[in-house]
Amino acid sequence: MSILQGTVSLKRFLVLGPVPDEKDLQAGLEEDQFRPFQDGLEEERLGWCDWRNPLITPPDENWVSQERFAVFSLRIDTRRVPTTLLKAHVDLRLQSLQKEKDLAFIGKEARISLADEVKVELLRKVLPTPRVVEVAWDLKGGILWTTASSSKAQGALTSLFIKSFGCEIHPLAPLVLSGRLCPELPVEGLMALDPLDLELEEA
Amino acid sequence: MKPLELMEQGRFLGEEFLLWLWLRSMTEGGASGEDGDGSGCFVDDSIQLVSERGEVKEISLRKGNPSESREAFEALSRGMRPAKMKLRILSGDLEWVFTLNAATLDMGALKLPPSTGKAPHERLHDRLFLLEEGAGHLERRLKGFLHARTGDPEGLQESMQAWVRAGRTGDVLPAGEAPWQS
Repeated sequence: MSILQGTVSLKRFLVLGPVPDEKDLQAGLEEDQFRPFQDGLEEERLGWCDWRNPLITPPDENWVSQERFAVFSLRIDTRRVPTTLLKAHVDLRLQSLQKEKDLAFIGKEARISLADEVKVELLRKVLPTPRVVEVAWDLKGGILWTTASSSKAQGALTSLFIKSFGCEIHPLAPLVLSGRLCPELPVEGLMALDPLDLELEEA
Repeated sequence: MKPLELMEQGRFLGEEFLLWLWLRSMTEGGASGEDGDGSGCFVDDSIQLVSERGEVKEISLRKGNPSESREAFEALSRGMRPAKMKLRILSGDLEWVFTLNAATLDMGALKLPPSTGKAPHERLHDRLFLLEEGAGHLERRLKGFLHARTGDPEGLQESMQAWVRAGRTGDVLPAGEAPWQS
């Protein structure tokens, strides 16, 4: 699903904080651009990429600015070694180590360190699964449109957004949107309303 | 207040907004009520109703015409409320179809009117414009609902109860004309 084509599921956020100028916006996108996995035990990586292609990092500044919108994507890569496979590899490695060193038992710390070693080796062979979340930030209106539908992706977007641009984002849920559309109606007043009772006695 | 708490606090308002859209789609031809707005908003073929009480917590009515079904009004009369609803907004020859979530007001599985742009940036501009147009139609209605809800809550409750009562007996018929027919 994409803002660019086909059906799309969208969430809106209200952006709070000073809007960065073009230079600061690009600096934030570059600073927290998506960087591929390196060696290590890391299982998730995330960062900004270009909306046209997730392999373009940092987002191309000539394409980020689209009229009053800043458009870019958040790429979230995950890589996992299946537990069964990891356990099988570790068991074999432990057996061969015991045989090689003629050991009756291998201590807990050594087992953990061996398991990590095996995991790092296997992680190198695993292809990451990328997820791309599109973001269209209406810089004048202070609204952010995104295709982030899961709470995990929304959480990642919220955290990285404040880190990169110093702006908080809040979901545009009924009370927030109501306050924005009808500033003459205080949010406290809306919260104090009793829900309508449609239950019928004869039902 | 944390965003999640704020969302929970406003859930009833989202549910009532969906009910109001439903009521107007059947009795006012889906009009927003705003002068000069020729758009119409209709409940499509999917409604999900939920309740915190009772033996049945969730009912999904799909395909056919659930918004006029007796099952839907039976559920409403037992205190169930819409959690999600598929809506169709028509304005001129443009059409938006999406599922509106009561708690978040997120638009799911949104089908936009076709874009005419060929190059990626042209298509993007078209789609962003259409997104804002669609959201604008919804927001105009939310404004109308909020004024009705805060202006005369008793009157709104009475008219909704009468609508539910009539729906249970199968008496609810589209009484209003679609905005573009007037």
